[in-house]
Amino acid sequence: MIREVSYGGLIAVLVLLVAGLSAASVAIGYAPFDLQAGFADLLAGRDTLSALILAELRLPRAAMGVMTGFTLGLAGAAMQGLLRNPLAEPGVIGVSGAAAFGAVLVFYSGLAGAFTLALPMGGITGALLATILLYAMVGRGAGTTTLILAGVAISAFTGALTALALNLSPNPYAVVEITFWLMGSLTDRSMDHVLLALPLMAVGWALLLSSARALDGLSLGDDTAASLGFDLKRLRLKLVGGTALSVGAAVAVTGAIGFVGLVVPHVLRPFVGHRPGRLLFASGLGGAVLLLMADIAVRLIAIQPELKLGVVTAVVGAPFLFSLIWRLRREGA
Amino acid sequence: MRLSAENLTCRAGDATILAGVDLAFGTGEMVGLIGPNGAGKTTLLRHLAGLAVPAAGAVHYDGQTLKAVGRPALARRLAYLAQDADAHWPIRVDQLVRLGRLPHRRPLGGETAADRAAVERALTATECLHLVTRRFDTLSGGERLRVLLARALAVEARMLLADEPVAALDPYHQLQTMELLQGVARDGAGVVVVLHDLTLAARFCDRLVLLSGGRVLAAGAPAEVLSDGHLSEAYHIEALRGGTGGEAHVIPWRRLSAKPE
Repeated sequence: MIREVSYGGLIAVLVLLVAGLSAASVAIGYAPFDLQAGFADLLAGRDTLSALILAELRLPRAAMGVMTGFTLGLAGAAMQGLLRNPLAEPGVIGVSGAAAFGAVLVFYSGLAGAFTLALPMGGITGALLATILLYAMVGRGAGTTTLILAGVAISAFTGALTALALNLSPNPYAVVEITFWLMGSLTDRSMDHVLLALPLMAVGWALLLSSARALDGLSLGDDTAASLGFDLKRLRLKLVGGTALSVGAAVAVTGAIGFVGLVVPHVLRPFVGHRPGRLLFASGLGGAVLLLMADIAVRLIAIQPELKLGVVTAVVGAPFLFSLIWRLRREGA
Repeated sequence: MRLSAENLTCRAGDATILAGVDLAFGTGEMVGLIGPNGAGKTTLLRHLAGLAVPAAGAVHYDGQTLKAVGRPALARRLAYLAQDADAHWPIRVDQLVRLGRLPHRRPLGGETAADRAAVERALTATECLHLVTRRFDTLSGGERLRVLLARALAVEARMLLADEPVAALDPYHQLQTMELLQGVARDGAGVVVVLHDLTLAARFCDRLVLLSGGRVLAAGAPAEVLSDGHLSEAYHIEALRGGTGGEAHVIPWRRLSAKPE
């Protein structure tokens, strides 16, 4: 059994890891690069190639890694808290699938070439449409189980439509391009992508992080949580809204990156004494750590075509999921 | 605090679970809610706690509705211990009991000395102090029930609603819990407790409410409510009666002929 550690200590360690890995992510790239010269040029406002690589490639990539990882870790912890189930993940309410389909539709229609942000905006639109549907469900008084079933339905439907788009694609190159995009990647994301995703993510993070106490209360069941003064309908709206905004924005910009939101909360849970509220922020930082590590690994493993981030996280995450199930089975849960 | 239900009615599909229940509970008294399985005890308690919306009728807290009081404010005045209460994560016992202080926390505020003192009192009263460093999932069923009761006590509300808090306890802890709840009422709070054990109900409660088929069959002093007529009508049983040191006791003894459904 893992002993609970001091919460402040845990957060400090995770913050240091995120900072160190962010620096490493900026420093490590496909090509050798004079980091010092790049920073010097960038700060002095010189329009050199080094400054450009730093500002347009390295920095946005590291920032996007932190933001996406934080989102997936945080939303995973929030969904596991809401469902009181360690097997829940950010995509469980269907927004990931909807965002992916929105982006695929932009690809398919050829709008992707029209302007840089067409693709992520398509993804965000898809996520928002799914959110409206989920909000309508909660508005009709749907409980958590109904919400998840609605999420499964949305995932299945958008997954089928994505497959349909691939099926009907007149152009085999488009199919390859879409499939690769769906695997998730941080390659060639610009500052524009960061600025598009950040506001949505920030609102989502605020909604999720402010639900910490209610999630603690919810660990004693719906009735007890309500008797402790928490409005469960409001809590569901906050968690669905927060997950939809942050995960929707993440998927819209980076594609589908699996398993981070499933694995990270589970690894960190014993360190925070299994308290769902405390897990939120820690899990967000843990998600950033894992995603930065995976993205650094993608660049260090020199394979062509480049490994996709979602592939790496799933290859690491799936065996872990198996060991998780194995352990749950042994504990008789 | 005065907790009252007026013409409280609850339906589930075609079935009527509560049919026009009128009741009032005050502070300083311990009221036992008794009745056969399916009489509507838990449903009544959930409505009293503001956890369910009645089909008709209303629940009032000092004359105000839940909407007027507000859920966060009610949570400070009324504590609820659910029948199937459980912790879904293996939280440590002291952390779990601290959840009872959530209604008193200020936004962004941490735990205060008053919170710590209340948790300590609740753990002492339920004889759970030796369990504080244990994880909830390592406790026995009875220990879990006592820890969850400590969680409800930690709220230190004016009104405590407890749904079968002694059902899974050994005789020592049944008596200890009943004395504890009686003490809570003596200290000035109101206690409404769902019980199946008529012997305990008769001994420890100031008043009893006997529910049957969603209606109040009898309400009042234990001796009146537990009359032969009421027991046979509600439970289809006969009881053995006696007395020890001036205290009457009632022991369910014999089933009457097959119960008409």
